Amino acid sequence: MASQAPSALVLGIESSCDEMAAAVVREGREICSSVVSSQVEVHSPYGGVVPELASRDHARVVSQVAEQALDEAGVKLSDLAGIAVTAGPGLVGSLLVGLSFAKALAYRAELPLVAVHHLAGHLAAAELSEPTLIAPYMGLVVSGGHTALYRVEEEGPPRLLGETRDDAVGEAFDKVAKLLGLGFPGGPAVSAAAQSGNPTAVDFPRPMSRKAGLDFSFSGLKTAVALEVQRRGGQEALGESGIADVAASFEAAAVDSLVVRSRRALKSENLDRLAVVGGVAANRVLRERLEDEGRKLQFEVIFPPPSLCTDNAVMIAAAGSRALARGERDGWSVSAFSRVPVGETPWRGGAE
Amino acid sequence: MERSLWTVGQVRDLAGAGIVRAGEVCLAIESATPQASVALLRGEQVLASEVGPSGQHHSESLLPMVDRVLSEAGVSLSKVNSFALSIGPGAFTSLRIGLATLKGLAFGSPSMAVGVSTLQVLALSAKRRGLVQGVSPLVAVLDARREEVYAAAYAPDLVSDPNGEAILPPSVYTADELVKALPEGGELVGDGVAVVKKSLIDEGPFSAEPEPPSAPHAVSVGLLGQLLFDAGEGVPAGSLVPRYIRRAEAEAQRTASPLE
Repeated sequence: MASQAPSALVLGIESSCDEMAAAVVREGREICSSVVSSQVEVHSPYGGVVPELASRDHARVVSQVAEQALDEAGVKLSDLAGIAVTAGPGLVGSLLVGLSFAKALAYRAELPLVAVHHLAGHLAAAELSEPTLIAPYMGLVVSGGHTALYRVEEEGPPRLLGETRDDAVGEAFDKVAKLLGLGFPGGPAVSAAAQSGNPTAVDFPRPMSRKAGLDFSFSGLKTAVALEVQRRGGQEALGESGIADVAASFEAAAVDSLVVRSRRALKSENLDRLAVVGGVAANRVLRERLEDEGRKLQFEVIFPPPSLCTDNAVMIAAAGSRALARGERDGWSVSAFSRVPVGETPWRGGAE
Repeated sequence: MERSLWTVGQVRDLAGAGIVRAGEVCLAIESATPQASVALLRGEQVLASEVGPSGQHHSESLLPMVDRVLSEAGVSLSKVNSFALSIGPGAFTSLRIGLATLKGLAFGSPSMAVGVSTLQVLALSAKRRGLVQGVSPLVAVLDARREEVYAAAYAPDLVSDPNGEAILPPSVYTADELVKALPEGGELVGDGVAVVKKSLIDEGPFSAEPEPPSAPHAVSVGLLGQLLFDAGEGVPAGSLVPRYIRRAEAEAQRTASPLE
């Protein structure tokens, strides 16, 4: 099959965690539609994503989400030039719903299929929202499942510079929200509580900030918050102002750790642009801190709009458009992978 | 078949109500159990079928199997008039691979879909294998882990009737619960036999089919599925949901109720 011109319409499907999403993108840049079926209500009683419930909900809504994306874009299956789908990393049960559907849909419509790396998608979202953003640049991926720094190259896959050794930063926000009784999802809940708190009230550890290297760690910080809550007699004894102080101090420590590594990475790689993507990129304190640092140290910070930061299918369609234009194809036996280094395509091992 | 004796008027009345007309082609998928299978049927005639390699992940093997079955029968996907899926109970992720595949295959087409109980598919597959006695209730048992089985029991003459009532409705049971529910015993089929063998066969009133255990097969999915279509049970594929029976672990704990 000949390479597709990038002017083509691509349907993206994303289901790597607790959101089933579908989107149509034209020329890899123009968003024709974007549908995200959120599961906040499904998971909120548990204070975190329950993988089996996420998969069940995906299986229930997958056709309707894809149908809505096509309807809103005003296109038919036969108008498409290809289908792009997330194959990893993520929750395997969740990934397999979107992947199995997308493969069968591509088969039915006789369209080329390309499997996309979830994080390559997040980075494509930055380029989609900021057309002047051209490689090389630094990518900071911060979400409920990922915390990593990449050097994005003009050619070839992004290069991993550092990543979390335990919890993802978004996961830490969820766990702290649970400890403080703030609800789910934890990011917005902790930030809202932190607004009225004192970020210097508790001197939480800045994990690994004194260590060389660019890796992150958040499980120690989470434990420190748990111990602090315990020391002060638990959630109820803390009261509203105590909870606000702990939330603000935790947020300051978590953000600090992201800022310190980003600064260090920009310096060591001699780059002056930083794209921040993933759900945690919507965090107000992180935005303010990085923008401050950028002014001081003269680097530019790019934050895509929140709708492109959280999981969505626009980014998968955008990344997929480029892959299809490069002539990349995946076969009917492509499978999903929970852990995949960016730039690797283990799903192509079993391809035709 | 009876269907072919319908008058043109009857067929016209039934068309559009999710009912399969004579001569129509049904694509059937079984992916709830470790060995997936795909079949293409026209009424009782099997145009092509394939059983997947055991051990290979369904996500890798299922769509290539669909492709081979269609090619072998010389039928293009656009000529498939209905889709039948083994809807559960079974392995959660495996069930969803079949379901999502079916939803993709049927997307945007007017063809309707139907879900068939995996336990009845197992019972019919065992009966079609020809190794059951068929004098006592046929008890389909699938290994549900944790020393439990998904089980349902059918009168021998009603195994091939998806509209008939099961003697024991599909659910999850321990061996003790099965003895209590079926004190007269029955004939056990399926990979759940190993789980309940000691208390039901060695020390109880049940018998079992000869080894190796029967597995649900897509041909039986297609046979039962077409009868459900005839009864007007067809729905748009996008609205199908698996019959898990068990709740997700976290939900079971939160609600203190393990079943859907």
